[in-house]
Amino acid sequence: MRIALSHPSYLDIWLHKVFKSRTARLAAPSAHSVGIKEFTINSPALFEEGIIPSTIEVFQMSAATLTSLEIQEDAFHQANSDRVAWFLTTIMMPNLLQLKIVAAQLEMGFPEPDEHLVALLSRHPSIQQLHLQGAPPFRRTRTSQRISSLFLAANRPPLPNLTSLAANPSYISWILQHQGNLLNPKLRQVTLITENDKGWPWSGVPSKDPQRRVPHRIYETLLLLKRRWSSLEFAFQWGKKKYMWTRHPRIPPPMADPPAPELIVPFLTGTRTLRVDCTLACEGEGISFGLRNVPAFLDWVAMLPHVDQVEVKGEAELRYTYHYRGGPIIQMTASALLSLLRERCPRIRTVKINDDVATVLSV
Amino acid sequence: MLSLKDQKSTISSPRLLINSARFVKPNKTPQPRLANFEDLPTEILLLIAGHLGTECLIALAAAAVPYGRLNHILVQKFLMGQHIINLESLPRYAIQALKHSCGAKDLASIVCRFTRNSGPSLVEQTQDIVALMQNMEHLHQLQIVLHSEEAGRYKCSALAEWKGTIFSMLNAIPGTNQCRVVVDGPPSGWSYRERKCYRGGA
Repeated sequence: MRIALSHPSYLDIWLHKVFKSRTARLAAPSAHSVGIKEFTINSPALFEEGIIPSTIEVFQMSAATLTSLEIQEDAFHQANSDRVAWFLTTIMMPNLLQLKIVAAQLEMGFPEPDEHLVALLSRHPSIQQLHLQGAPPFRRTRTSQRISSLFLAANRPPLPNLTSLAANPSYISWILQHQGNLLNPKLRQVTLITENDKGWPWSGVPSKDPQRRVPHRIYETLLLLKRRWSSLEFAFQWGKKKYMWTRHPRIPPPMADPPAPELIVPFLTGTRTLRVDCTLACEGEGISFGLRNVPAFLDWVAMLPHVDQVEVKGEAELRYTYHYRGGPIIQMTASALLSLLRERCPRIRTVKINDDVATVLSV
Repeated sequence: MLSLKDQKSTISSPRLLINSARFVKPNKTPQPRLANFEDLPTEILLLIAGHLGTECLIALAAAAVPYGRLNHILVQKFLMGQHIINLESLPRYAIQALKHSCGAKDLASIVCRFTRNSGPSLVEQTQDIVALMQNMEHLHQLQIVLHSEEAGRYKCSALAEWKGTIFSMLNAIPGTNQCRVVVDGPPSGWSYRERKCYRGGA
């Protein structure tokens, strides 16, 4: 099977030269077309040796119609990083609108933008909805590690059609440091995916490199966001046991990395709506507002000075329960949460839990 | 005793008419008969098909491939209420029946599960599956699931065997479709060892 290759761009040549990678070549669209509009890869099989040329060929043949590509975590499981890199830097979908990559959550650090991702995003300025969760298993060369930061700083992908961005703070920060992306009027929704089950979104993971500390990234990202955002969406693993302890008065947070985002969040004066998305990281787990994390959630909302609407999104079958002030465990409704929130934040006027909506008038 | 003519004139109820029919001399000109089964009205064919089990129905549809209209009606009856077709669970002749039917163009969703049992059969029927898929003008979802229930070396070679069928299916999706493709497997519940086997011991 032979894959037709078009002329490589400057970026491709540079990638090829620096990273000694065969991935720098670009697949040209095929004459025979296949009517695939959305492609979800949830199997490492498509990245197997001997299979991947056929996979790339299918993408070539459906290049004209493909508008959505989703690669789920299972696809990267034990996958060969070179072949994954080859795939991501070879495919070309001129009409791509949605790109979602969900890779394994990192335990010892946080995902940094990668040159292969740079190549993928740079070729797809048509993307409107971008979701980057975790880091694909790329293997860095010594050269790439040495010059990575320089390369990344010089190659922030312009995404002029972006309307929604959901990613780790390090990705968000990297993308929004491109002035065109930051000032892009189409971009209305930003979701911080922290991929950290060790505490609140800004409770850090130990790292000697200050640049890689989560609070630093959160800080950097929030500073960027504060300049223009009217609606800010946070997504994090809400409801895990560890969150219950983070803000408990008798037990100090596990990490207290300065600078504390509490110092930044109050400056998000444009933020009127706070969305907490529990569906991304809590698959199969209950979301519970326990004895300790209800007050913690109230504290957190209280930090945002102008928020008057709180939306909590979870899986439909999950029950929201709380055990507040020694009372019995009951189902958490929007009106109950609104009452609790208004005790701390009188400006809150609307609370929404999935389809359950409560406003000040209905309480 | 009344003559036959007089008797006819006095009969008013249909029952009597039937009873009296034996007195009528049989007509020597033959009654018009059905040319073949396919000439039956659609309603009657659907009524008959309604009394057949799924396997009989699809077997009859496969046998009726030379009779386009009959094949189509039987396939339509088969597809009634079936929004998703599981290719691997169909009898071997079902794909024959489907691919010749213009009802196949109305199929919207297909699931094809490659397992140790279904894999070889699907590979053998690649040509028919491709022909079927090329007719599916309204296909909007194709799910390919790659797995085997058993651990062991079989998984290592299975993917290589299935590869041709998998990509033939993908390449056969008509260019005008707006199809969503999902490739799943191995299931996320698999252990590391199973996954390792699946990947060919890498």
